[in-house]
Amino acid sequence: MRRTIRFLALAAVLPGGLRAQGALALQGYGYPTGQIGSGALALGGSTAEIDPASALNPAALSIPSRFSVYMQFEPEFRRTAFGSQGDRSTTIRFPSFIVTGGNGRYSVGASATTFLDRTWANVYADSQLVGGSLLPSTIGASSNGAITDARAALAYTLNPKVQFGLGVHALTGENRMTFGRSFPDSTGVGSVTQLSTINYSGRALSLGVIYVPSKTLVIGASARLGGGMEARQDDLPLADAGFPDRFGMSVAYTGIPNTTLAGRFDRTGWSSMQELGTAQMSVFDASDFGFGVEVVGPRIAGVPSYARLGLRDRGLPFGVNGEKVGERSFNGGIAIPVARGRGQLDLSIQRSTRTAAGANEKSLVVSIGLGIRP
Amino acid sequence: MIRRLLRAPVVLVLPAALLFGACAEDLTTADSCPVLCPGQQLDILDVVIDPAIVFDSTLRAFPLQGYEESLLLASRGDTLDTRPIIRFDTLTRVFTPKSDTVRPVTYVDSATLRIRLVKTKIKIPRTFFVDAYDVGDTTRVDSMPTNLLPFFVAGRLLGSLQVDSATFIDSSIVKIVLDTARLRPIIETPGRVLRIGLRLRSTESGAVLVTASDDATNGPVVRYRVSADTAVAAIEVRPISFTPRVPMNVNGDLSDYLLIADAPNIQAAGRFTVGGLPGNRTYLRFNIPRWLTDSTAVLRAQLEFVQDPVYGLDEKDSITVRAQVVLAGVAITDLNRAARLLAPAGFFVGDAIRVAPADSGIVRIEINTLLRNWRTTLGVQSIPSALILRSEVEGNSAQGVRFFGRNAAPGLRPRLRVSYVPNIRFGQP
Repeated sequence: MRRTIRFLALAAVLPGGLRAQGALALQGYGYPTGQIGSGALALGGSTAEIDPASALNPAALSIPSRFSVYMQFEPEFRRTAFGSQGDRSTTIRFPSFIVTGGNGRYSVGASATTFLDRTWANVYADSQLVGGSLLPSTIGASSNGAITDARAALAYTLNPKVQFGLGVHALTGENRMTFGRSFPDSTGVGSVTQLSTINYSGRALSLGVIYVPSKTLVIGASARLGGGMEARQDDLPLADAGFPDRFGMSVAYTGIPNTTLAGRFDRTGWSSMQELGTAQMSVFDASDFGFGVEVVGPRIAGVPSYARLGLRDRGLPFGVNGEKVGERSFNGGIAIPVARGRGQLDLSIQRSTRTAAGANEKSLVVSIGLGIRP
Repeated sequence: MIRRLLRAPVVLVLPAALLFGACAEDLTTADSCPVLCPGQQLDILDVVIDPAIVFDSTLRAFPLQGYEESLLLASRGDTLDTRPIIRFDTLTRVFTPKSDTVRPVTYVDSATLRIRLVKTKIKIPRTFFVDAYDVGDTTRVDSMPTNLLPFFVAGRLLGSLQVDSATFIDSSIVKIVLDTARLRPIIETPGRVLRIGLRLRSTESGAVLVTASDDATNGPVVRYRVSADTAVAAIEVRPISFTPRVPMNVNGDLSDYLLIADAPNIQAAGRFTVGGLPGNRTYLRFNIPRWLTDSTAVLRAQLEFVQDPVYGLDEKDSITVRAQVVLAGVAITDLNRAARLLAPAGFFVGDAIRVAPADSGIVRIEINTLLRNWRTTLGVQSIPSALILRSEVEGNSAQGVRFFGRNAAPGLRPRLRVSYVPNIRFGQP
């Protein structure tokens, strides 16, 4: 009942200040994929700071088990419920591509990962006053594209216990938007469609460290120091803002045979992007907590496979009507070696629930990662 | 056992990966909008361009004489009198009997004029006559009514056909028997032409259409026998005109044409008219602000006219008025000629006005597609800002409608009502 009242109250107020696109996850400039590899995702993101397949900590590039090429495919199946109404949608993402190499104590890597995915489409009916007459019409709006984080990173192994990393980030990408309204032929009113493209650019620096204080404990931490960020619309300046700062830390315990326990905390200063949107865009700094357990499964061609479980709780950066959107996830997955250990296939599933402003969204993210070590 | 259980998902990994890899993207949402889809307001603004028209003119006599698709044969009391004229300027004057040599025609029998009659909206009189008169006289400019009308006298009657409404069949071909005694001297005299004027005669008001000579199958034909021997085929002659010789190539159009003996005048000062006989077209030239054509998306553009009623003939029956885009460029300064260089009906302007002559008040025609096409590219407008209003029954009906012109009072003159969306910068959340 309270949810219904909240929904009705919100519907009465809107449309006004919201800048969301049909789903809780797609507010503002889009959904943050987290830049986490499939394997770490299955663990609730808990190992992201020590995972070379996650483009967060540049120091992780020096981990011996890194892949030379890692790519990820990640469809999301979503249902957004608002009172008794609901929408189902599916978004296909390719959120990550990483190439690494090493020589001696040095490792280098280049990656392109989805920072904020803004891909959606809305088609819905409403009425519009045209020439004094209220006419039925259909609104069609869509956005395609994302902000991509392109990173070049260097890692250095000081000794078996300490590794450092440095990453240089460049933001790139674009959102191709269409927005229009059409009327039934019987009204004699034509349709209108406007096209627009928003391009992004920005820069940041990231620093990371991995420390192995004992044989059973691994600690990884990294920080990203954001520089400037600019959006241009149709080749005209739109807005300037700051690339969000980020700090994260993972701790993994391997004291139990064939088992890894891990936890992670991450804090991102998304509010530095506030100037990039209109006054109606609500953006929040967000924390990301993750816990996971990994057990070694049966060996395949002499190489172990893994089974993983995780929990994740985080806030999304862009709110609904000024209210923050929270996301809570249950994760799981497996990893199997392929090509006699020269590759690995990660399959993970993240079942998430997002809530805000009387809306409820359930999401199933299937993440398939393939790492190749020639 | 535990190892087996752990192996099971491993076996499922590849099929699962293939399954999800094959799924299709489905981005569209609807029910959560507009609550979760803000920023999607599209403000539609209204503007009235008044005056929208910078020039208007009523142009007369459409279709041009000789270009009629069908010929109105009408007698509406003292209001309307129209008479088709059909020219047979070449007659067959020699023939060749079977197994014989060519000889001149000295015998004329069983002469008929075959025409097709098509019903109009006017009720067919219970009884009416179609009289055929000999109106041939090449010494006169015989397309002029004043020159031809004196020939519609009993002394020049070639034949007459009685038609009853009970037996009349729409679009039927009828034969008017021609007086061979009058026809023979015309055929026997080299160089003489046969020109037939048709007139409808009835105690009631009546009007039918006669199919013109452009229709090779159903157009007018004169037929006569030139020998008592039935083995000799009858002669058939189709319309052709040798005059006028100047200007060149006009004579062919005048094989048949409409002679308007009497028709109501629907023109009035300060108004422009559409329809009537001879047919009127209205030429309208616009001056639309560039910001509207070039910097907005037009959703609706309605050209509004205030109708001035015309009382008289069929004043309650509706006619359709269409707007057609003038394609003539600035090089064409003759408006009458420009009014014939038109885009096909339905191009740019799909809408039409359906009005009766006696109607009054505001009528509207949608021209939003046209307004969108009036946008300039590099300062050049590819389609001229001019329209022609014309009746769909132009030349076949005396009905006409009248609208207040651009010099009328502000509430009466034409105006353009436009709903548009200004260019917006959409997408910033």
